[in-house]
Amino acid sequence: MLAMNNISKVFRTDLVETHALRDFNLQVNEGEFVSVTGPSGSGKTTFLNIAGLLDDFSHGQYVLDGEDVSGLNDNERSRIRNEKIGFIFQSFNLIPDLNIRDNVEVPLRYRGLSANDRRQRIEKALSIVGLASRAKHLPAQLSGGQQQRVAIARALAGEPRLLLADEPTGNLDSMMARQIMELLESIHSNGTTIIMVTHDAELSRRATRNVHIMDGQVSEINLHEQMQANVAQA
Amino acid sequence: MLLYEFKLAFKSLRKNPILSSLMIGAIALGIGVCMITVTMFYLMSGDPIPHKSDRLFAVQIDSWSKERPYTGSTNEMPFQLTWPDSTALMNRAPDFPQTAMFKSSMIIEQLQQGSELRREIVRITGRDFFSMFDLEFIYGTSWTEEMEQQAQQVVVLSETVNNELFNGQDSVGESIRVDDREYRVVGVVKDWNPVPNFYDLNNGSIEDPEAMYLPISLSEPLAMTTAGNTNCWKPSTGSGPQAVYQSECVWTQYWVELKNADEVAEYRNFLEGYYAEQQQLGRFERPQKVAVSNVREWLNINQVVENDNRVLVGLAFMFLSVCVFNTVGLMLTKFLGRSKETSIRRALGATRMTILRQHLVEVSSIGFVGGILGLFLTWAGLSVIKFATDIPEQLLHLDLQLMALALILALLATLAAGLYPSWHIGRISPARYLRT
Repeated sequence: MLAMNNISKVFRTDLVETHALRDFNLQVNEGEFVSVTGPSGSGKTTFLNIAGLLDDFSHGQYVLDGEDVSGLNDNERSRIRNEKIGFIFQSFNLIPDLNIRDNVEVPLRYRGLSANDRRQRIEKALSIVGLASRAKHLPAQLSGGQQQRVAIARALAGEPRLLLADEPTGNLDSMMARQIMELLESIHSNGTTIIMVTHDAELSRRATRNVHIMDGQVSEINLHEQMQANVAQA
Repeated sequence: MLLYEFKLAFKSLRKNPILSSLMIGAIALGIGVCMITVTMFYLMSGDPIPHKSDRLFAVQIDSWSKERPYTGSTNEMPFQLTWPDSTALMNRAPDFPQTAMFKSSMIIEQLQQGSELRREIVRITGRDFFSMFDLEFIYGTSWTEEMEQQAQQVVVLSETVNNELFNGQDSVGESIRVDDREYRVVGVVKDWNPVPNFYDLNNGSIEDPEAMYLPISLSEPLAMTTAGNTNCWKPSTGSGPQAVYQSECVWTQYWVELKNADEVAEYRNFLEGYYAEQQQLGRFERPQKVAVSNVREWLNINQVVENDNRVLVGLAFMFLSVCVFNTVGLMLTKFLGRSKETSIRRALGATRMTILRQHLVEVSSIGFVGGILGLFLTWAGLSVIKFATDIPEQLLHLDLQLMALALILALLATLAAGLYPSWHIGRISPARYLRT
């Protein structure tokens, strides 16, 4: 699904050059649920931004769903973001002036779907997250957990093959966090590849694989231990 | 997608009404000021008689002093003719429709006892005047050649005066008193007040419509006096109104209708012959100089659209530019205020072009509303000008062409103002504001 080979990302100012990622190598297979951990400033979010085509990288090769995205222009990158990738953010990133329905509709508008298609997808996505009855509410009228579920519905409405979640439970209490995690597991069980950045070790363990990033590099891929833990839990 | 973008634009305008109002207000003010000056410029520079402006010619003869040229006009010839020259042309010129004329001020009253006295502006002119300038008769016709020869005291009334004196009824055959003499009404014409009043620009290019028309054949016998400009290069001999008729002062306008270049050439030849004759008689002492100028040329010679007006239009557009620059700042503030929303939209699949288009649609909406408000300000401004001056109603007329120009100008101005902010917001990296 995703293969990054020797990816480097350098942030430059007049005085300082910061290597956010250096010789970053990672392969994620279709259907995996990968958690990404690491200390603050290790490059997790940079990795996620590059994976989601939200940011460029300085060197290396990135193949997404069989397509080398290194040389794509803005239109092609936007199309891939729209059609193949769903985003879930720590701060939800809903558009405050749009109601829930219209928020979920945003990516579908950019895909050019018919009104009927959009309506069906929105209803389905909101049903999945259990917020069909709140379609006319504004984000500010919902709790944090509900807002994150709207964000998940927005990501799901586009039926993405890859879901990128950046600290999806970071702003939620433990009960809400658990609900969101269960929702993500449910989505994963339907075949969607998920990459989730998290600081929470417990959430990390619920993924099928954990990638640890340290100083802009993948320092550890403890897939085996993770699988054992999963088996033990089961 | 366009409808969606208009919906977003509407939401955005409603979300921050103060900022939106400032932007719309700035554009409206710029458009209003521009359109007021452009309207005045447009009307002043317009063709007052477009269907025959190339067939009506003002006549000039340089009858001025040998000592110095006439300095009041751009072609160094007097705008008007002397009475002897006007009568000579009327009597001897080739047989084309033509007339001498001048403006007078007279006291008018109905014959009935107790009728109110009123002073009105009157045009003294020839019978060809009405057909040459296409005045439209409501009742009757012009006076005839026979009436002129018999020195009949006849008059053609304007519609307004006919309404006031005869309640708008057919007054042909009725009599009125003008400067204590009785005149018989032979016709009533619709009010005629072209802007600019090209046929007599001596007292400005905008004047009130004239109340009535009297035969010029009566002017000298009845010693009618002009209410327009009289310019002299040497003193009159004698005194009283008759002295002016004999003088070398210029105070009559002269127009001729010529259908083609051959007729123009023929008429010019006649004028040159007349000039040479007068030189031989020792009257004209300057190098031969005559001119026949069509309406457009005549307006230019008279500098009806003065350089001041052009400068004013330039200043108005500079003011609009200042408004546009202010709007750029306001738009930049507004658009950058929703950088996060733009980042979200970019993350969800909006291309840079999509973001640019979304914002340009909003900008166009501001331009459209600003344009409509600007038109209202234009109307209000013209009304104030009308109220404060005696400019006639025609100048306040905003035609469809000018309205379309205002809206297009507003759209172009706001697009110019919004292009950079829209482009700038479209360049925002999708990742930049997503974590905040």
